[in-house]
Amino acid sequence: MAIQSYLALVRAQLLAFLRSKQALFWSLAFPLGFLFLFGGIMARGNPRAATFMLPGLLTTMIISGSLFGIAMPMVLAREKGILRRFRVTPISASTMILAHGTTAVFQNAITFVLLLTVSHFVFKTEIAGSFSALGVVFLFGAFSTIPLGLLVGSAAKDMESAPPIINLIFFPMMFLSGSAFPFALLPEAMKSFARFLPATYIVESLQGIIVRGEGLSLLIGPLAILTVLGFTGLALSAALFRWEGTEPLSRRSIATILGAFVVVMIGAALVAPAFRMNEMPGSRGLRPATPKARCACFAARPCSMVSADGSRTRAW
Amino acid sequence: MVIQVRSLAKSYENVHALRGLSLDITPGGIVGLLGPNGAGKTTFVEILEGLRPPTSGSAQVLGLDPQKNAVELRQRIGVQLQHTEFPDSLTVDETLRLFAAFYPKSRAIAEVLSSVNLSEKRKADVSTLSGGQKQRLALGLATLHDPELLILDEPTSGLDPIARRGIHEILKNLKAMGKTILLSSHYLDEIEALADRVIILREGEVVADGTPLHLLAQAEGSSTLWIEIDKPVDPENLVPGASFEGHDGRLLRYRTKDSTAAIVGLGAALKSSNAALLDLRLKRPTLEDLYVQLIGVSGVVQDITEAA
Repeated sequence: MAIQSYLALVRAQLLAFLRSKQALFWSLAFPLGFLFLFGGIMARGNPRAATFMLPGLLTTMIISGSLFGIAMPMVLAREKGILRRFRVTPISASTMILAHGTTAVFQNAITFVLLLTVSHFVFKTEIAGSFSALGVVFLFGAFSTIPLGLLVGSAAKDMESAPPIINLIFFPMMFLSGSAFPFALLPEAMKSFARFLPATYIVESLQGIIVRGEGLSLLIGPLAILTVLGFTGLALSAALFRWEGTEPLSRRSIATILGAFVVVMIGAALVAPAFRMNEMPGSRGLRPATPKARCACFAARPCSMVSADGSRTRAW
Repeated sequence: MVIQVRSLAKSYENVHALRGLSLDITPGGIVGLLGPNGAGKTTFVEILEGLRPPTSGSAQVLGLDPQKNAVELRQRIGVQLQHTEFPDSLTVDETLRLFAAFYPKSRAIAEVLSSVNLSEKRKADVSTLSGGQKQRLALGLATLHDPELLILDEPTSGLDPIARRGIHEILKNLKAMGKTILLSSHYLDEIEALADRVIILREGEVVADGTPLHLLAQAEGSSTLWIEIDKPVDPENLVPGASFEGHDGRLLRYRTKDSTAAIVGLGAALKSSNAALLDLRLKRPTLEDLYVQLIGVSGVVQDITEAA
């Protein structure tokens, strides 16, 4: 019966997603906008540069889909009292959590496939590795970040407090991890910090498949970290799930969340130096052609860079 | 026993929402729950639904503890919340199917739709429904697993008279099916018309409990009687046992404790003065009079709880 409830919820959520113009905008139009921004303007239509920036873009979209795409609808449903109506049925909190998470996997998959397809046909990007390996890495990435969205969705009190919490997680993950800039190109101090961020391991895995053409066996380290992270988030969100905003969330619960993530990410940071993340992306095969392409600014804000003749130019 | 409550109390910080409620509700029939805002009605039903734990005392619903046996209990009770919000972007049909999946067994969707008079709206997006249609859909959700007990929190709140009547018909049908219905409401006429038993709460305590007839008998006797006579008479002392209060147009208004005796006496008085009665109107005390008397402005609570 739990399975029946779970399937019915996933179906209803997917129907609502496909019928919501707003949700489709954020899952389809918004990521495409980023793709054209990066592929067209940053990579100047250069297929190698476009391929090179693809893992960062995909990672950014997985993170934003997982955080904004889950947490906001969950908090909205709680605030409107929709969860309260579910609560007086026999459905359990963990079924609710799993259904929201599964819906998010589908939403993220739609964005992921769309970006890969459009970038291939428009910017001639090529995947060096296998598609099945890419699919597996996507699932690991989604599994590691979706629980973060579930957690915020479970814990955030209302629609006013949710966006700041999401931004607090999203922006450091985007700019300070390897998703805005390839890990190997980060300054040493930022590298140590980036090892604490889950996004770094998603980018690393995607780089492995897309740019370096590696198999999954070489990516066991990052994938293991993502798995541990996913289970931690899932367990915490099931434990902290709130049907109503009025249900108290104790300081102890918040401390538990933070504590658990600090422990997991410190563990990740300790083992990460053993991975091959310090190698220049594309050092085998694809070369980051010019400093321009290197800076190809996977960031969504202006950045200046030094071009070949030494003059500083404003990229975007 | 469908509901058994003993010394049930609930406090929020400094507010005592319920102060030691004890009552039993037997199977079948509609039990009306009345009381002003803040009387503890919603707190009471939310404890029964397992949405809130009591501060002290005990509540048993269908022999189950709402906190400890929440899942089993929710399979057997149907709940209509004070404000029901439905999941986004689904049709009436899809919404019912979604909720039906949460129960081990449920009634046929077509049957549920027709029982709440929404068959024609089954393809409509829920957001396009009127207030009355939404409340009927909420009733459909509450009844689709054929529960033994229904707990309905102000199901007609904010509806127009026609929409309210639609809900009343559905409730009567459910009662005829042998369901036990705990119905909280702001509308006294609704409770008077539908309920087999009325419980009035005030500041977290039961101040009246009994059948509507029993409670009305307890209301301070004050029927109002209007009469119109074909020729001028001295209105004072015309109606035995009733006091003359004034004119309402051509009608003479009297107040009496015993309306039957007053009308019999009036007949004799008219005969002796050779006058004819053109019109007669009688307003008996209503639940509203009792309610105002109990809750009223005086602040003095008169306890007329019927001995069980």
